[in-house]
Amino acid sequence: MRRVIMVAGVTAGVVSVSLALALAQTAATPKLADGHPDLNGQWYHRIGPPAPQIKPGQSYDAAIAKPIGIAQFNPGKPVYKPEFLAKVKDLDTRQVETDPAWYCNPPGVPRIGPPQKIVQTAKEVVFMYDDLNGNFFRVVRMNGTHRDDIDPSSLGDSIGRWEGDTLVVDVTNLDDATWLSDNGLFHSDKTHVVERLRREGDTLHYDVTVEDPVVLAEPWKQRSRDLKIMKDYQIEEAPYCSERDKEHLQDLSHHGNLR
Amino acid sequence: MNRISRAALLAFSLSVFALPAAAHHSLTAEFLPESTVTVKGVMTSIEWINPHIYIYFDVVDKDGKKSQFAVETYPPNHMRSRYGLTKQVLAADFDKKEMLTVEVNPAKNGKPLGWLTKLTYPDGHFIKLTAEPGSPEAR
Repeated sequence: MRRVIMVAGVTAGVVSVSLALALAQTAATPKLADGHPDLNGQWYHRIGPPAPQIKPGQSYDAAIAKPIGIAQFNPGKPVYKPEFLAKVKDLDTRQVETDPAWYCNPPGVPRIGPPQKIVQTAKEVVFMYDDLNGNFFRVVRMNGTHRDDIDPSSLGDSIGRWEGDTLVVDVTNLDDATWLSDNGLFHSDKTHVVERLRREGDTLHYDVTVEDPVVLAEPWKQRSRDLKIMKDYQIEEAPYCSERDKEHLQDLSHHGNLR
Repeated sequence: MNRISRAALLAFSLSVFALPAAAHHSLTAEFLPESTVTVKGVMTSIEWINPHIYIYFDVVDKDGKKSQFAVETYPPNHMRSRYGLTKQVLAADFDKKEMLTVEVNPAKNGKPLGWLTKLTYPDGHFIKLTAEPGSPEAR
């Protein structure tokens, strides 16, 4: 009898979770006056919403508080041309020494990941990032053309357009000083990135495709990410980045550096 | 309704937590996670910087000689988002220049440096940050 009740309880739980998900999916997508979806807001935080804040003078015990874990997003891996596989492997093996992002350099596009905050107007959409390596922003010019009068950079030159309800951002003029992702994934200065952002209710679907005719054998479509709007959270200033560990490292072991 | 809200909250929490985080070298590449060293010292400064926060202490040895001991810990956004700890909380009564008890995993290279595991203040309150098993920092 108890088992039957338990099964009924579990079933009710599953049904309510499904119902909640269905409700979340069908929440209306807000639109701006120009008719396009409203992408404004804080969408993404690498770690999650802040834990309850401890006050000065109050004890804190991680063993009791059980802080939230970190689940890193894995965007997948691109397919390199055979002649570059050895270089990727070497950079990967020595990532502790070779990863530019570990030494406070900008992660660049696409490694910086989805925008943490979006500020949207009809003429431009601003992506803001509070990254471990600093505060970054990108101004996406709507319906513009790529500039040819600026030097390549880690975040490149971004222009945007609407394809139906999807904001498509085309990024060129990227320099080759960054990696595409963790594990030695270097790229050339011919990298072309296309981001697709589509809001559905309180969810932002973020998709990235990377082309690099120099080093990649085929376009790399990263795994999709679904971001939830964070209504009670504001982007914060990233503290200054200064790497001081290299001289103390005794081996090359490391954990992930995914964004 | 209450049940639905709670389920929605759960679904939301799960999806938010499945987000990436930047990370760095292994703890074991620099420190000895199996051993703990305790030093007593006065906190002289906190560098609330990426990719790792540094806290500096003045320690005095048996012969009365003063030296600096550096303590390293998580990145600022981990401290606030995962632990709820700010620079002000760690500094506590910084201006009183009191003696704190500092427990660390010592640096492998023998330098006066460690990875913070516990900080105990003169009034007895403490901040314990032992890396939870399975976390990236524990690897």
